[in-house]
Amino acid sequence: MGMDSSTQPETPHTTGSQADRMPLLQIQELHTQFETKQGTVRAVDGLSLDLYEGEVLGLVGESGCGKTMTALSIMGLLPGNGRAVAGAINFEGKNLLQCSGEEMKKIRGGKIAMVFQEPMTALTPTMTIGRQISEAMEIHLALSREEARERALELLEHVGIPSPRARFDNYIHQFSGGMRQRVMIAIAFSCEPRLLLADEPTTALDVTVQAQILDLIKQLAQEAGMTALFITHDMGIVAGSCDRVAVMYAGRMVEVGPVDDVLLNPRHPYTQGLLGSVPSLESKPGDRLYSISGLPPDLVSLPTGCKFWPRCPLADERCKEEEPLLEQYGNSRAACWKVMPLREVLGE
Amino acid sequence: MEEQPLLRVRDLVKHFRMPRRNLLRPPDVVRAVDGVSFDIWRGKTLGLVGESGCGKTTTGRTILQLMRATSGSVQFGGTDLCQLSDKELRRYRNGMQIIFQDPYASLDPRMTIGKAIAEPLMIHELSQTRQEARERVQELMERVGLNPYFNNRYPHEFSGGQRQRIGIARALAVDPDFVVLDEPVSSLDVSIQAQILNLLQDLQDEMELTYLFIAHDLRVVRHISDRIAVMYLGLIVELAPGLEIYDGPLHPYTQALLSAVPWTDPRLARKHQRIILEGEVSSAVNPPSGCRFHPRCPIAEEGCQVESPDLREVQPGHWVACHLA
Repeated sequence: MGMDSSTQPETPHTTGSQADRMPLLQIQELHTQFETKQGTVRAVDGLSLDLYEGEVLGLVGESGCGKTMTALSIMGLLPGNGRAVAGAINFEGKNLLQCSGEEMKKIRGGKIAMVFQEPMTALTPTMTIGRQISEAMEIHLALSREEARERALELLEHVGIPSPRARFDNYIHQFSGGMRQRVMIAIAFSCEPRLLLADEPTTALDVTVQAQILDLIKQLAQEAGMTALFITHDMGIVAGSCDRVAVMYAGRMVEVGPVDDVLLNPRHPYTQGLLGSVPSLESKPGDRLYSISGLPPDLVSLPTGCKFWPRCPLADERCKEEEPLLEQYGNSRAACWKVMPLREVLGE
Repeated sequence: MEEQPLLRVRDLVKHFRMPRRNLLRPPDVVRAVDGVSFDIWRGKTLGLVGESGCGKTTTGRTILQLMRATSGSVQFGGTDLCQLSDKELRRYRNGMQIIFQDPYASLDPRMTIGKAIAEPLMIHELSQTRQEARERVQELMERVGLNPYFNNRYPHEFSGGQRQRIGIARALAVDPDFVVLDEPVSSLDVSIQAQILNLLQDLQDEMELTYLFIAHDLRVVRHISDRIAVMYLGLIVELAPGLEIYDGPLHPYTQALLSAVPWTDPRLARKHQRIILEGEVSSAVNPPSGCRFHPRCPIAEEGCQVESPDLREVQPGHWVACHLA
């Protein structure tokens, strides 16, 4: 467990034979920033992350931790004056950050698709849903209008829209929340992307519908052997739907590893806090929940050293001055100076 | 459980008339709450869960008489609030408070938070002088974990969690007995959610508060409630002590809801067989005949389409409305 381990590529947990496989998507030292009157907002602050073929990776963290901005940087869809100022995002031999607008248009919706939290804002209200699905396929797959229509009907049926022929000419406002999300999933899967980015795809939905949608995405991704990045704030969704998980705090990754390792044996105090904050089946009603004190840092003026120290119960002088790097612990990696003492405390 | 409950709700009904679409036909009626009964004892928490549109929010507001019930009774400390005039109700208003999901929407953006917290004190004439009000505001802010130094700031200067603390301070200013909490933590990040849940629990212990906790997150509800009522399309389908409902849900809807809870333990997530319900919640304008859940129910029989099941006590304290339970 030396410093050198932090430079080793991370490996998916499934089998050792995949270890030497090239990642499908490789994010290296990504810095995404926004210029505001108050100063430079460091939304993503040196994130490195690999996604391997066929895996579902959960990207978790609280609002403002940079998880959505990471996805939008991949898609080249940063809002306003947001810019990926440094780093690289390698996908199929190309650095997406250096692709032209035209090149990105071909990749977006084609090789990389995204499902958003709120389908109402992501879909066009004035175009029938049938047209929205077939349009993408006419552009990316060069299908004729008729072929695209047939395929769109198949897709609608596949994602569980009842009587797709009748629904084909409906507009998005005529669908319920769950059905809207199914339409968006149909669009995302229509061009058989290699990579799916799902940004809080079920946050706006009721629990029973949420379960339907998660199962649908999982099933479709498995059928197509697709790689997926699941962005969520809910560790429960990670537990049920992901193979690996990366935890973000203040624009950086603080812990990453196989779901079982990170959720059952979290190393970073922030991950421990996140998990402790959610009531579990084992917790006794009425017990106090573990809560992380204070608030996330201001992204304009980040603290020195470890970005989590002002809220960390274990922080000492070193944490305030030196920034910890990701290091290997068992199957997972964490960026914390205190991991060793923590393990001693837990009596491992 | 022998003593009188603080709140006794009986056959509560709230229907909304929709705008008339066709002159020749009667207007549509949304049967938001369609005959709900339960008790809450002093110092206890009843969790009210269900999916959007099931009527849980309307139930909370109708109990507080923020909207008047179509029929039924709400006995609060022995008085039926539904029978009182608006003027008579004023005397009871400070005994009952509500905390909303989005405190930002319920705070005046141009009023400092010190004034916002003092406002209920002045309205209910609980503080005689400005000095007295100021001291009480300071005490309340400290109690909910806000720095009293910030009393001259405006709502937009606070984070979501802090705003929820302001909402709580405001509700507690009048020293209520009963508080309706309508999704109080659902718009907050998890770490902040835990802070607020802990605060609500501490306040309940200290002030012997009685809560009606409305939420859709079954993890949060399990944590905070003594008893839990599950609503579906305007009716309570199951009501039982908290842990009992999680250990042995009897209604097929409760079973499906619980099987969909995303627990954070990956071993549980794999072991759990999810019951995936077909379709979505039916319309509250034309609810299905018989048992309202029958179109989505995995075990429905023919009789379920005909006769509506009553809420009956199948084990001591465990009530369920299902022909087959």
